Amino acid sequence: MPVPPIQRLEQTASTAPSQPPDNFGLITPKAETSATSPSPDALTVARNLVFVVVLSALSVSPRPINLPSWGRREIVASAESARAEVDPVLVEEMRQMFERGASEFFEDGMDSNFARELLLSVIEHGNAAIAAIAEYVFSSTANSEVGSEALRRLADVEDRRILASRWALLERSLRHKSSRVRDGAILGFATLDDHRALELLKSVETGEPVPELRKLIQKVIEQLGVTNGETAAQG
Amino acid sequence: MVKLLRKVDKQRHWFRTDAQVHLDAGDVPADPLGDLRTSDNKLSVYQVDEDRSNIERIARALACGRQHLDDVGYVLFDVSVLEKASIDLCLIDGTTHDSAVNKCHADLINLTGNKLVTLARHILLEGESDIILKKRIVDLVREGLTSKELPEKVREKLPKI
Repeated sequence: MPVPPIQRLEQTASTAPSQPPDNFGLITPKAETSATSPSPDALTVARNLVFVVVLSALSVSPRPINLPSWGRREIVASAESARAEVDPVLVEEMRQMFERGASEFFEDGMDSNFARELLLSVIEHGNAAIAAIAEYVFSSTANSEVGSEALRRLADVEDRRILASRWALLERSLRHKSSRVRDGAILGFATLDDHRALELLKSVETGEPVPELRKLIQKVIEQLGVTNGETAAQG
Repeated sequence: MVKLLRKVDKQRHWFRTDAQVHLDAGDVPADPLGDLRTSDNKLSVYQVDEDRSNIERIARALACGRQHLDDVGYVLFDVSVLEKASIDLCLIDGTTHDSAVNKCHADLINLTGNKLVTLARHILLEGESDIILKKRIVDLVREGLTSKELPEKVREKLPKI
């Protein structure tokens, strides 16, 4: 019986040497239900409130493609596990979103309708959205340009619920057959700026067939090395 | 030989490896042309110092013209490419937040579809592409604010901590 893609993804993540370190503290529900953590009900309420606020902000924006300032901020903490089933309805919604994104020209440093939709979907669906994105990115009909953009933008979202699943998707995408998707994954790790990706990037560098991507990986490794030094200096 | 820098939104469109099959056929892939969007048949470029020491400053100035700071991709090509593509260059001040960078600005003028394709082909064959990552751009902007090379209003582009 074929293994569902999300299970394959999780198996990859669980066996890979570069699995997100345990000290994310996000993978096991137990870690998130400690005495200092809010109750699951409170988290659900908080999550819904944040979602409503973000939606409201977007709906009153006079500029239709204007995104809120959402770079690297924490949207909401949740006790949800990183595991998520693949929801066929969400996968179809995601496919349509990516197809709409294919008609956009993505400019670095500029907002896009696709990025906004993607963000809202991740806020609403958490790991299920990541699973649906993985389904699309690794499907035979995927648009590599939009897939690459999605991987880059996902790294901008600081939602603790998705850290592990996003990491697994980025890691898997480093070995995607499309150089454009790999480019998005590398840039995603650059945006995450987490020194724990150092070994992972070093492990794919030598096998990367595109010279420009090898150079990009080296650049990100250099950046993460500096980040590592900063982290160590901060104790 | 003087090099010219053209900002590109997708450095990945300029990977020579990916373009090679088209180049071998005497053609160019279509995607890079999206980064050569003209206005009034003109295209903005910047002159790079021989030691390339002003590349980061140019990239920083270009980054500050966007909605938020991000990676800056660019292609570099030799000015001699213009002659091969029959393209004229007109020195004219730029409009970035950095006056020194504005002095390096030039327009490629009287462009046509054929000239753009020829330019793209020469850039892919003889030029190079690179990217400056967002984290470095943020550092450069901070330095620019400290040194007053950038106006204070650029500070709002810095990520909120």
